[in-house]
Amino acid sequence: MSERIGIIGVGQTSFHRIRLAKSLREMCFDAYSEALDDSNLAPEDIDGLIVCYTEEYDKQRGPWSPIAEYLGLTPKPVVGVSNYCASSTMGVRVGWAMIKSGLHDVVAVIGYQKMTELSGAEVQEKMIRGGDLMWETPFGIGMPHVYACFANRHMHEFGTTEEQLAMVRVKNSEYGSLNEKAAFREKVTVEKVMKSPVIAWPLKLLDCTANADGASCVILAKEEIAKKVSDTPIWIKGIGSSSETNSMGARESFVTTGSWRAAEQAYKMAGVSPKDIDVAEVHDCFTIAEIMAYEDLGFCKKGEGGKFIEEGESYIGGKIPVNVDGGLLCKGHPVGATGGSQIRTITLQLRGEGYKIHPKCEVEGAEIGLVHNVGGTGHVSNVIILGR
Amino acid sequence: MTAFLRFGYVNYTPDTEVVRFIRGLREGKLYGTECVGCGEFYFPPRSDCGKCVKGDGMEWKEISGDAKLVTFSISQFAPKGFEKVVPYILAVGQLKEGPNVVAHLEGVEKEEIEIGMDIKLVVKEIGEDRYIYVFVPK
Repeated sequence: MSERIGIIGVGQTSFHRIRLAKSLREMCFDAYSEALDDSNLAPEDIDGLIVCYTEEYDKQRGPWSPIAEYLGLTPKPVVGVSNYCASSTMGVRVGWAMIKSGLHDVVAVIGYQKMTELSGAEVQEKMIRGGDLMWETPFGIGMPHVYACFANRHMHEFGTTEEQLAMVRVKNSEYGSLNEKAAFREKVTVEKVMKSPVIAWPLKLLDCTANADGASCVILAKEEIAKKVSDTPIWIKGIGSSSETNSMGARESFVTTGSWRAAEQAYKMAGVSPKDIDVAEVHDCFTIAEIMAYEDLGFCKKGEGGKFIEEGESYIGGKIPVNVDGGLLCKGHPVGATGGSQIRTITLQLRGEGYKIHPKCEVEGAEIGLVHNVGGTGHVSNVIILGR
Repeated sequence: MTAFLRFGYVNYTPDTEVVRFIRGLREGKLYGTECVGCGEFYFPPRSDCGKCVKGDGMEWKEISGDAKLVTFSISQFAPKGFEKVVPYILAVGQLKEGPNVVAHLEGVEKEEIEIGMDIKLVVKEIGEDRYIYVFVPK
């Protein structure tokens, strides 16, 4: 059997909307320190660092450099990875390859974002520049607009309703209200979501995640070390990645982010199918995104995502519990940190430590979990399947 | 002023080989490009073919503007720089010639919007020698 790559340490700061007296290097330190403690390793055991972010929110150029110094990791190799909101799962992909190649034994993957220094309109102005800058950004097309276009098309093709969109937020708020590391702890009703102000119709404020500050850390190790230091290493069983066109005009479909391609790769590599997944974290930057994720990941057929949430299939006790830590919608979305946070949640669930999020968030006996992390509006998709 | 800065409410792309597109806008016409080598048609125009990647050159072709509405959203908030334009309807329309195009949809009430409806892409002057294209109902 070929050498496996294990996750042996996870850490995450609280995600928050309140501007704290904390610099980004200090945020990264908190996540790294927690993961290192979780891994039972000493600082000198880490032989490579990957720092994941989207640099446009920072004043610091080349943030990987000061972070490596602050964590005490210079002069070890350090890599910067920037892939929009999927940066930290891409960092895990890069780390997986660095270890698999034999170049490294233990790699720390840090993801962070500090977004509260900017106003919402300033953040949106930076986000729209991630689209087709020449032909589409001049129309003011941002993330909520594109996901609203997906939602309208989904409603048109499959009869998905605004209430079904709202039900995603209701579910995620039920679990997010219990997660001490989540930025949005309020439990909401369908009515409250429906009455929140329209951002880009049909999406309302509570159909959208919000920018936040936070950091996450995942420590990867080669099999021999993972088995030695951990009683419960969590193995990377499948890892898939795909991209979509930058411009919306060049898309073939408006009812998917295209992440089904990454999912197919990951399922094939892991040798499992959607019915084997016991718990999943999906990229719910908007409520419609979670509905499309159910379909793209094969949890239900294309077009049946609305029914899947309405019938409670993504709650604990349903077919596949999804985002039972609150998801991006309730945890908040510090873009470079999000994928690492998703991996932390699934790692804890598979170790039988879901109670660390909250006892009511634990999926008992979970053996195989899935992480789905999307950058932009599908510009990049990563799907990672983890197992005990 | 670099000519391509005349495109859009906000423009970030001053320099391009398809700057001739602006000449069409001034005449109220919309042009795409067709690959001389493989025949692939592009709108908005491209100066290089991403399909055959041969660099055989491109030919300018005027489009009809006839399109069908594929999807849309109605924006109630504005990113920085778009405060004066909000609220706006963002639409994806599929041109008769094939490509999908993103543009604002104007001259239509929310209740009248129907996916699949016939629309037309037309040139709009949005300031002194400054242009954009928009969809209008047909």
